[in-house]
Amino acid sequence: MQETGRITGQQMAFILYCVVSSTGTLILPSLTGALAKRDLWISPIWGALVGLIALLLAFGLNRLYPGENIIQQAPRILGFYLGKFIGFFYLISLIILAGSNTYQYTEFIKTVFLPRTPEMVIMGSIIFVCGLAARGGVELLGRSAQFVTPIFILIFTILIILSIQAWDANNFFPVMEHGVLPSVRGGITQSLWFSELFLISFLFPFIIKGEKKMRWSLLSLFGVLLTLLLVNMSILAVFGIESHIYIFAFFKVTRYISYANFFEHLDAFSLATWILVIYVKIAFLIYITSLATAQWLHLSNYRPIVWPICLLAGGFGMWTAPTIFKLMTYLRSTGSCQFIVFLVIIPALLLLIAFFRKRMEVRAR
Amino acid sequence: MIKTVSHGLFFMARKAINRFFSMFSRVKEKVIGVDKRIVVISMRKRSFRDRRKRLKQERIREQAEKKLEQRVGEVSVAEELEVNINYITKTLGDSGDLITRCFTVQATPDRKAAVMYIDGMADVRIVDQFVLSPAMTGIEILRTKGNLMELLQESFIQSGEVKVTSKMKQLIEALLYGDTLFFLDGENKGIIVGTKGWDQRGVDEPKTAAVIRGPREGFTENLRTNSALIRRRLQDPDLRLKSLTVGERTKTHLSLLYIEGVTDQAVVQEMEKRIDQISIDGVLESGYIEEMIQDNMWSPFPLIQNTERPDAVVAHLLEGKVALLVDGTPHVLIAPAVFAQFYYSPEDYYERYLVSSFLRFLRLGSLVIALLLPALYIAFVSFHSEMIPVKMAIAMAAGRAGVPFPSIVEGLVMEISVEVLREASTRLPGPIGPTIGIVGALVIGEAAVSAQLVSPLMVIVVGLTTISSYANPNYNAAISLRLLRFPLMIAAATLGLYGVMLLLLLIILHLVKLRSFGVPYMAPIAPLRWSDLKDSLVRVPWPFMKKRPKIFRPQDEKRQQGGDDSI
Repeated sequence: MQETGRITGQQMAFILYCVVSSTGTLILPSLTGALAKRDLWISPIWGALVGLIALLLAFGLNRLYPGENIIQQAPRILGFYLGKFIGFFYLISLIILAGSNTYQYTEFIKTVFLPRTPEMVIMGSIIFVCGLAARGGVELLGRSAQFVTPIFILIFTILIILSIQAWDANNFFPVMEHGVLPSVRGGITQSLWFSELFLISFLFPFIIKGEKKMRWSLLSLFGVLLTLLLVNMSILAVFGIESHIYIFAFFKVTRYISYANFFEHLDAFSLATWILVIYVKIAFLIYITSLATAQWLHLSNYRPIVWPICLLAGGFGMWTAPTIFKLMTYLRSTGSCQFIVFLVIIPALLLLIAFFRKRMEVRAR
Repeated sequence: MIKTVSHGLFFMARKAINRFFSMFSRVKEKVIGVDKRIVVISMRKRSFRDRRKRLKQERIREQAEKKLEQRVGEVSVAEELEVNINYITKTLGDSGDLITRCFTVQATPDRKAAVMYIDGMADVRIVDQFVLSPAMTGIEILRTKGNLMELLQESFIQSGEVKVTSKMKQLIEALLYGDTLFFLDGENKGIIVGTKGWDQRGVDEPKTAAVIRGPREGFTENLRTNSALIRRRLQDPDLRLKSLTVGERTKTHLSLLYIEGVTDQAVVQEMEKRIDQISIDGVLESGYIEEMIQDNMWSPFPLIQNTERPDAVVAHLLEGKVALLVDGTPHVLIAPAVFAQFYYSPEDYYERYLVSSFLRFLRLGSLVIALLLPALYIAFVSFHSEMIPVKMAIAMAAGRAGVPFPSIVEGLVMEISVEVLREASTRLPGPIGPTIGIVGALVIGEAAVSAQLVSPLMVIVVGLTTISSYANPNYNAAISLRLLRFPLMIAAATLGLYGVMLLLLLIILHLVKLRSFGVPYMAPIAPLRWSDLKDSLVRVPWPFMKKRPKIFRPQDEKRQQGGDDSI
C-alpha cells in the first residue's frame, strides 16, 4: 500500500489552484511582461488554452488506464524499458520543478524580507515543513490546501481591490499594438505554469469514486485563469510597460497601496499568504516526486524516501540557477522547452500511442 | 537472454531497496479515513511502545485483581451471622466508620439479624425508618410461617433498591458505595438495600463558561444528580445510559450517554473500547479519562470537550455526540470534538443569531490576537520596521528608545510575569485575590514603564493578549493557545514574520492531521462541508438549521420538519 488516504474533488481543485497560482503570481508576470509588454493581461488566456490541453491529456490517459498515474501508465503503453526510461525522465523533471520552485520561493523571501539570512536556512526550513506534509500523505495535503486557499483568495482579492487607486487605465491601450504575437509569446511562458495542471495525473488515483473530477478541475483552471488575469491586469495598470523590471511585480503592486496614511505597506499580508500557498505547491511537488520514485522502483512505501527527495529538491534548488536572473533566463529558454515537452508533448504522444494500442487490441480480438 | 537477466537484476535491486527502506519505516496499521463518507473510525495508532505499555497495564490489573481475589475472592455468605459480621469487619480492617447493628427479629425471637452500613455514606434516616424499624417491629403483626428472607425482601424493607446476593465481593462493593447490608442468621444470603445518601454540594451555578442568558444550573460532584439533570432536559426514551467502572481501587463510576438512533454507533463502540482499555488505580477527575482516551496524546489542542453545563451536554447529545459522566467531578466529557466548537458558547444558541454571530467573530479575532499579537509585535519591531506605517513607527521607536532589552526579552519577561500573575490570582484565597491585581498592575504596568524597563506599547500588547485569551469560553482551549504563543515569539525573534508563518504552517499541518474519534478536527472547514458552515463562523437562525451537523455522522439527520429538500 503506497497511499491509503483519499481526497474529494474539491480538495483536488484547491491543490491544483495552489500549484499554478502560487508561483504563477510571483515571478511569472515579470517573465511574461518582458515578452508581451502591453498585452501582458492577454497572455494568461493563451496559457489557459495549453492548461486545458494538459488537463484533457491527463483525463484521456486516465480514461484509458484508470487508477494509475503517468509513471505507472508509461510502461504499460511503451513496454517495460521505454516506459521506465520515460518514467526516469519524469522523475528528473519533477525534481527540477520542485527545486526551481523552492529556489524561487527562497529568492523571494531573501530579496524581500530576510536579505541577510543565509539561503540554506530559508530553503531548509520550508523544505522541512513540506517534507512533514508530504509524509502526512495526500489527505493532509488536500486538507491543508482547503484550509489555506480561501485565505489566499480573500487576501488577494482585497489587495487587488485596494490597488485600484494606483491603476492607470491608459496603460492598457493600445491593445495588441503589435498584433497577436507578443501576447502569444507571453502565453508560451504562461503555459509553462498552466501545463503544470497535468500533474493532476498523480492525484487521479486518490480521488473518491463518484466525484465530479472534470467539473472540479475545470473550475480550478478557471480560478487560476481569473487570478492570473487579475494579477497581470493590476500589474499592467500600475506599472504599464515597465512591469517586467520588477522581479516580483505583484508584490511591488501591494507596496503601492496606501490609504489614509495608515493602511500602507500591506506587503506583509501578501507575503504571509504567499508562504501558505507556496508551501502547498512545494509540499505537493515533493509528495508526488517521492510517490513517483517509489512507484518507479516498485517500493512498498513512499514515506521513507521523502527526506532524501527533500534533500535532492534543496540541492536542485541550489543547482538550477546561481541567481534569480539566471533562473529567469533558463525559464524563458531551455526551461520552457523542457517543461512543455515533459507536461504536454510526451503525454500527448503517450495518449496517441495508447489510443492506437487499445484500438489494435480491440481489433485483434 | 539479456532481457531476462536485466529483468532479474531490476527486480533483485528493487527487493533489496525495499528491504533496506523497510528497516526505517514502521509498518503502521492505518485505517482509511475518507473525508466525505467515513465509515471506519480511525483507531488509535498502536506503536510498539504502546503495546509494551498495554502489557504492563494488564500486569498491574492482574495484580490488583489477585489482591482482591486473595482478600475476598469467591467467598460466599456463611449461614452464621457472626461469621459474616466478623468477615466484613476484618476485611475493612476494623474501620471506625463501619456501623453494625445486631438485633432480633420480633416475629421469631430466636432469629438474629444484623444491619451494616458505613457512617456518612448511607442515609441514616432511611436505614432507621425503612430498614431497621419495619424489621424490628413490623413483623410482629404478621405471624405467618413464610420464608422470613423472602418476606423481608418483598414487603418489609421499604426501599426501592433491594438486591439479594450470596457473593461477599458484591456485598462489600455495595457497602463501600453507601448501601446497607442486611444479614439474617441461618441464611447464606445477604440483602443489599439502596441507602446511598452522603452529603454533597447542591446544584449550583457553574463557575466556568458563564452565560448571561441561559439556564443557571451546573453539574455537581454526584453522578446520579448529573444524569438526572440531563434526563430532565431530554425526556427521550432513546437516551441511553451505560454504566461503566474504572479504577482498580477507586472504583469510579462512569456513565456513557448517547441518543440511540442519533449518535453514530461506531463512536459509542470506540468509546467503550477505549475506556475498557484503561487500567489505573484511581480516577479522581474526568481529566484522567480524557488523557487516556484521546486520539493524540501529544497534541497541545484538546480533542475532547468538557463542560459543567447540562444544557450544553444535551445540545451536544442532540448533535449526535457522546457524553461521559464521571462520578466525583462536575466536568462532563463530550466527544468527538472539533476545533471550531471550542470557541462556541452555549449562549450562542440562546441569544439572537446576529448577536451570536458577531460574538463568534469577536472570539475568533481574539483567538488570533491571543496567539499572534506578541509574536507579530516582536517580528515587526526587530525585523520589518520598514513595514510599519511611518507615524506609528516613530511612536514605537520613541517608546522603545530607553528600553535596554531586545524586544524578545521584553516580550518574554512581560508574558511570563502576566502568566505568573494569573496563576497566583487563581490559587490565592478569595479575599487576598484583588491585592495581586493591584500589585501586578502597579508593578508590572506602571513602574516597569516609568523605569524604562519595557516600552508602553509592549504593556498594551501583553494586556490585549491576556484579555483576548480570556475571551475564549473554553478554558482548556484558551490555555493551549497561550502555550503556543511562546514558541511563536521565539520564532518571531529568530526569523521574523517568516518564522511566524512557518510555525503557523506547522500548527495548521498538525491541526489538519488531527482527528477526534474519527472526525477530522478542522471540520467543517477542512474537509469543507457547506451545510455545516451554517453553524461555524456564523450561526444562522434556527429555522435554517434543519439538519444535524453532518461531520458527526448522525444516524438521523433531520432535526426539524421539512428538512428534506433544504441543504
